Amino acid sequence: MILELRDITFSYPQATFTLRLKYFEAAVGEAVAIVGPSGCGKTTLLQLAAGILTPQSGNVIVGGQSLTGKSASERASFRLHHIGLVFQEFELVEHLTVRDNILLPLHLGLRDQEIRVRCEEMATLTGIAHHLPRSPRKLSQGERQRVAICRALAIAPQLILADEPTGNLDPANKRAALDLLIAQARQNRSALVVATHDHDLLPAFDRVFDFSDLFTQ
Amino acid sequence: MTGIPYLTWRYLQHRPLKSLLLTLAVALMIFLPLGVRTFVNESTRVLQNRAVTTPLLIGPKGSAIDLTLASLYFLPQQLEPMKYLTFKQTRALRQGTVIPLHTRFTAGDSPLVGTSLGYFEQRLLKVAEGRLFARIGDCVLGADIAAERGLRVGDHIISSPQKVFDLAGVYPLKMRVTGILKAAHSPDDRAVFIDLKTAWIIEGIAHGHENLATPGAAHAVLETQGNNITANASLREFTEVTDENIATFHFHGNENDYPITSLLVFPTSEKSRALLLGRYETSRTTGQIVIPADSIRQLLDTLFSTKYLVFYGFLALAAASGIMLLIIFSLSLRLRETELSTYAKIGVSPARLAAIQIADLLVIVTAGIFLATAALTITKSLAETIIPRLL
Repeated sequence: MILELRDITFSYPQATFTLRLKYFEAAVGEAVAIVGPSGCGKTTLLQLAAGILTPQSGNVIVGGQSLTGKSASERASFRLHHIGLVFQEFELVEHLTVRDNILLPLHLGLRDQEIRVRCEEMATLTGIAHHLPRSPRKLSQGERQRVAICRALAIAPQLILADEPTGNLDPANKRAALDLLIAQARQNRSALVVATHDHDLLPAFDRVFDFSDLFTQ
Repeated sequence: MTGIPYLTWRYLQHRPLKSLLLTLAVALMIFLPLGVRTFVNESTRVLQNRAVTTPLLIGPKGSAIDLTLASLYFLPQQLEPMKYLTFKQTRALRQGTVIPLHTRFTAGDSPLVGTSLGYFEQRLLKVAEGRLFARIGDCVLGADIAAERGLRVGDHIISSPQKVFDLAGVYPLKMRVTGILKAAHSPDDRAVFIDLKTAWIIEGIAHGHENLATPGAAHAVLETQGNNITANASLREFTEVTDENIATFHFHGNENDYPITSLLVFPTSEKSRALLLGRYETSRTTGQIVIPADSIRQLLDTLFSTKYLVFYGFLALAAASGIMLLIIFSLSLRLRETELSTYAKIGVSPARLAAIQIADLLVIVTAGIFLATAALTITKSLAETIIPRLL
């Protein structure tokens, strides 16, 4: 297993809702969809899996390493090196070029010069190579999403976590973005976990995890 | 370049005007109070340097500061002239080197300083080109005045008339440049040095004219009584001393009464100094003896009595600017919240994130400090040159 969450309990400070999760897993090369209505905890689950949030109890294991015992700095470093994140709003840095956005993990401390090679490869594969020296502000939504996916994949992560990665895309771009993520995950033997509320895309996944009932009052 | 320096550089580059303005603001914040202090300190140092190298000054009674400014910095002052006899009497005391000065005239906006050759020796002035004056009508230029007017050895310079419509007043004299001094970074650089006798020619005490005894000058003879020939207004007076007419120049009146502005006195010992001071304090002389360093200190105390007020004013301004900069930086951090949040999610440690947040502040402050230091260095080095000119 690449990702395992066991006996997780999490609640935000001063919140009345508590997330209780008995078990969640994603295997090597597996694409898992998390579905559920807005506010059911999909994003929280992804953030717990990424080590951005820490559960009050339970264990988060990524690639055989428990994140719950690590400090914030150690979790950040682990995430930088092993987890690729794709955000719904893409979260590209506007004052950097497309290339710099893809190489952002390198600028933030990643010690892997191979990322430069993978950046070019991913850009070519996704058809944005000609945009590399440009500002992301000049790209369409679909292109911006591809830049965000390239950034997540360029570090050759063990685990890819995508939060509504197709939420801002038209149907054609949605399918293309998802196919790219699933193909890369399988090719690199990574686990892909995608939070989505788009049921049209579910057939593409190996497994669907319905999150509707996990938040309990 | 990678990492935080690269991200910071790109961020600053993204907003070049803001970055530049903030850098300039930091630089000004540092430079203004320190620049004022540097300028005041350098002014004090330059003024005092000149004063302390002149142990004593003798001049007419009146303001000691005016006398010092006229004699050391050649600033035009309304001073009563002193008789040349005072020079002779002081020299006769044999208590030190006595240098006469005549600073009443100008050549354009440059002071004409009538003196003796001993002046150059005492002031350690060296000739860069040519030689010192050897006869009446010669002049030696300070480095700045020569450079500004593009004058070389062999060129001429004309003294300025005191009053345009005063026919009985001082006539301009065309003087030959025989030497140019090396830069001394003092008021000497802007002065035109002439022999004391040349100053007296400009004063009208000495003059040269056609020989009335020659037939060619018959038109100028008004009356002849024995050996005395009275000339009329058509007599041609020479306005330039040349090798041909130098012999015709002659002085009228008693040399002891000829005017000088002051005497620079360099006593041979402390005892000589004390004797000279004592002589002027106790005797009923028409002049006064001044310690230039004391006069300048008194002047500076008056001039810079407000320096602390200005300094603290700028310091308060700098503090206010500093607070404003902090506000601008904190607002800037709020604008970067999304960007910084993205960095955190991707996997930046809290320490590195803090470093990213303050890196642009550090770059701007460092650039500001660098600019301010450069400006302070320039201020300090220019002060030495500018201050004598400002005087």
